[in-house]
Amino acid sequence: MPDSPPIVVAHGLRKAYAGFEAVRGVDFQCPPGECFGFLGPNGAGKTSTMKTLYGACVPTSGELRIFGLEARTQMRAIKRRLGVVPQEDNLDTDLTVRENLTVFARYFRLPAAEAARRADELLEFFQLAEKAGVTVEKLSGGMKRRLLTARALIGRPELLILDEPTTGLDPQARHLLWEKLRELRRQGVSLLLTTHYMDEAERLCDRLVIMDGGRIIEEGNPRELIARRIGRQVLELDLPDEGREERRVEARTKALAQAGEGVTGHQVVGSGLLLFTPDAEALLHRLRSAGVPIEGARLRSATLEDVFLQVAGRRLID
Amino acid sequence: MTAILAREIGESLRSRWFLLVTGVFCTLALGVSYLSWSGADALGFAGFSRTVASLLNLMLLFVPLLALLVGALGISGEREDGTLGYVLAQPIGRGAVYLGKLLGQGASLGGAVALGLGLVGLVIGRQAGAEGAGAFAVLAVDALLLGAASLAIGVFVSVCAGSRLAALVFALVLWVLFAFVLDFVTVGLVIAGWTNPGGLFLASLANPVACAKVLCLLALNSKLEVLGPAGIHAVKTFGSAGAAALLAGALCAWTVLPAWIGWRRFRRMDVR
Repeated sequence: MPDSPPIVVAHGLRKAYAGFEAVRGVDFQCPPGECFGFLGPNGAGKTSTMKTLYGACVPTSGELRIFGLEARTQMRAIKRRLGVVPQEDNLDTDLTVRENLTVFARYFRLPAAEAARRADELLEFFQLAEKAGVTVEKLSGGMKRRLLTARALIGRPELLILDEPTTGLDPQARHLLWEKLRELRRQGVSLLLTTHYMDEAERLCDRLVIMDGGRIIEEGNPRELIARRIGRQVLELDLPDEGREERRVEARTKALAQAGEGVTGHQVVGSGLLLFTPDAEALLHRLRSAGVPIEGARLRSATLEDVFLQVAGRRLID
Repeated sequence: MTAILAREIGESLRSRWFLLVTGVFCTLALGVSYLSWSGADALGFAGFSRTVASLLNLMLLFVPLLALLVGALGISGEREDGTLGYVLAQPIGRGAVYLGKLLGQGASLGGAVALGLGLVGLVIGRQAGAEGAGAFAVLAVDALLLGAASLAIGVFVSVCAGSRLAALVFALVLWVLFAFVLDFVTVGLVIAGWTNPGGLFLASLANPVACAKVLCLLALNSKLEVLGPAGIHAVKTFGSAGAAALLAGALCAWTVLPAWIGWRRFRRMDVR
């Protein structure tokens, strides 16, 4: 839906707590029907930004419009069209899987029969129908995340906000949830998520922002970002790890000097060096020919993680 | 708001802690009522008048403690475990969330108090007849008013406290203050020579537990002589009905003011 107006518009959005400014004037727009991601280290301001979107935090200043409605004054109308999947598991452990959905439907004033129908539909969609009658305590971590997502969809939201949806899940559970999220997007539900996982952002997001220190430091489509910031390939070099620091620096300087215009950027990671280049194999050959002391080398395609490390790496907290 | 109200009541009914405390209150109320006859060299259920005097002390200690804890642990606990932020993300106004929680907790608490005193009332009514039932009814209403005031104070504490533990500690400190310390302060003032009867009566209005105590004593003895010069002064100045209205009004103010101040804070509160 390229010509549709953005579903979320934030302009100069700030959020300050007592003595601490968590979000320092961010601007972003989320197009409808897409998956929009927030990436960043802990304390970057992602969760605070999300919480202002669904009304758990009141913005300190700035403009925030969702579905074209003013968040400060029309939050209740906005929330009718939102679904939220929280970071923490706050399912009601005393209730069954199905009851967790039907009880929740009260907030949306769904009649009992409709709530029951919707709950069955969602349990089927998230492959939880067989567990409908068991208590939440008996579910695995992946099933709980799916149930949390199902619960957020009970009111048929147009926008689903997910705060680190797959944290702590095993690969199988992550892939299943990703598939369900892609299916929801195909059904026209817009997704807005925060994540620590670069592969998750790369697979799911049509567009994303990287936040650090309460500010947006990079924005774009994952593939465009990779192409713009990193290039096509990455050459990972292991430089001499033993001996004096001067030797390592010398090897690094020599590698960078020989690489010359063949690299679009670089990142120092411990005793290693990442070189971003359009042709990693040719670059490695050139460095070896020039006598750069290389203890190990790996060639791979550039990823979003490289972008993240490049733009936020120096200030990583965790 | 009804969704929040139903949720609060449902959670109370499923809370083992709340059910246990309600059970303890019912048992103690029945036990105290049974033992109240022992002063007359016999065990058994006495009439309402005698039982009210015995139940008063239990009510003055138990009801504010339970209400302060229920109120204080509600919002602070939900904020800590992430549930509050999630509830606020639903299409319900903040006012409805706040009021729903307050009324839901109040209904649960009122139910517990009504159950305990109702059981006592039923047993005494069957055993000793209806004589003095009016004073018992005043005790019941008084307990509900004190419960409402303590709950509102607890909710205010819950909104202001940074954590569940801080709310719990603050609630317990307030309970000790209301149930014991302020009484000792009043006695100390009298010993120190401050014997202005009007001042002493007004001092009792500054403590919801003292308000409830004096209100119930007024029902037992319309001249309030048991409270000495302060009681006599109150009845003389305002009349029995006037003094009762003043005390009930003070308890209502103790409910409305903390609840309102709590709401003002909750309205703009961030859930981190």
